[in-house]
Amino acid sequence: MVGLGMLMLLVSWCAGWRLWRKGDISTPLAWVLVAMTFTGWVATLAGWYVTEIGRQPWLVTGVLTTAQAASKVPGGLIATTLAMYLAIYAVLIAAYISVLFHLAGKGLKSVASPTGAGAAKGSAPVHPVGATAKDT
Amino acid sequence: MFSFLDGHTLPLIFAALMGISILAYVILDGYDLGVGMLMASGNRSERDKMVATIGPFWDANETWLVLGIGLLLVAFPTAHGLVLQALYLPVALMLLGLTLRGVAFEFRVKAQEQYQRWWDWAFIGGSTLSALTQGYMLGLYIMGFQEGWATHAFALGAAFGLAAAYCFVGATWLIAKTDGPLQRRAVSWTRLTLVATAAGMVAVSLATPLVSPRIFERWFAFPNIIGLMPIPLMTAALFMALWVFIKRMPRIDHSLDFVPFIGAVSLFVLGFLGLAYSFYPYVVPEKLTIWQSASAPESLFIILMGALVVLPVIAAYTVFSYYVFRGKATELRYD
Repeated sequence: MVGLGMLMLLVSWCAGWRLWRKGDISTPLAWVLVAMTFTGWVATLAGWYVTEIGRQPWLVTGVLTTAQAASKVPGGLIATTLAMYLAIYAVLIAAYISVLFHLAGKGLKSVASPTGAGAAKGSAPVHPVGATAKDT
Repeated sequence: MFSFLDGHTLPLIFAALMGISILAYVILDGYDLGVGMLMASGNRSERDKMVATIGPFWDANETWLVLGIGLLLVAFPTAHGLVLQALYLPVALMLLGLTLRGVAFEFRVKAQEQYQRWWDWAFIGGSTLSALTQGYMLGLYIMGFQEGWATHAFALGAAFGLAAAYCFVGATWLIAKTDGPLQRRAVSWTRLTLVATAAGMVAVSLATPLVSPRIFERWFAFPNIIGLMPIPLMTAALFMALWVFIKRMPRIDHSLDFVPFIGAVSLFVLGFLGLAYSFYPYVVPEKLTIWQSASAPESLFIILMGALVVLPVIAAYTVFSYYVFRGKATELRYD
């Protein structure tokens, strides 16, 4: 979590510095940014893991244990709903990633065409990320 | 200076606040869940218009659910534990429905063309699942969480009853916010769902006193019955008046398009008053009263100070957003 946070800061400063000095981002740096798409998400999850697992067996440290606070809902029912949540979230994350790339691809098209919104911004040359993605 | 805010008054204040939150939720999210369900019989462009009528409001509407459950947790923690444990499965399914629907709101227009129809159905399915599970919970609550098939049969009936009522308030919302062919369809939807809603309300009104001798006593003992008669009488009169009014819709003059929605909201309020009167002073029917399950007065006092700041803010932004987006809904646009 901490490592990822540092990495995010480092990359954003590098990109910021480059944008300020040269007015655009190099293709390798753009690829690094793409690769880091989910780092914020992973860092949040990692943080959550640390707090949730770190404070076991307590729910409220020194006051209430997790076992004491657990409800009397049958285990089988909880397992079923947990499986249901996992399944729906697996579908949603897949859909989310696919829509994200779909929308990013749309943005790319508008940058590539001279009438697009991206092209209207200043005279600095724009390098779309990965020329192959243009075909999609 | 706050000596009147004691262990007797504070739980009452919180019960009232919680009741208002639940009523606000049922009316407000009720109409947008209803619109979501009615989308099943709309075509692509009708669906876009229908989403546009609820677009600016729906997520603010859902905050009332969070507020209602939140108040139950902080003010009546024992009851929160009992109620949510008894309702575990329907709550889990409701959350699934609300999640699907929330995601589908965006993805039905932002995803790839070929998947947009799927997200439309996720939206319709999520709305339906949420409405049915909420009705099921209402049914279980009315039956006092008793064991046995009768409870679940009644809860199933209540599930369809509440879903019909949501479709009804949703259809009247569409009359208010649309015009042209879609408004004509909304009028016919209103007519159908009005009958179903009336049937559902009659069923609940008959079942509640039959299930509990205490509730029977509360309603039918003399002289209570004289003071209470206006509730069912006004409800019946309002149903009939709405039926007659809707027969003459749609009108060329749009100034009265909000009347059916106001009528539907009034019916929800009357139904809520009836239920509240039946179950007061219990939070968990026949088991825990408001005072037995309330938090310590000191905690309640602190929470009340917070609530007194937050509630006016919520009320103010609600009024403001309805004012900004008043009138007929405009084209659905995301750019």
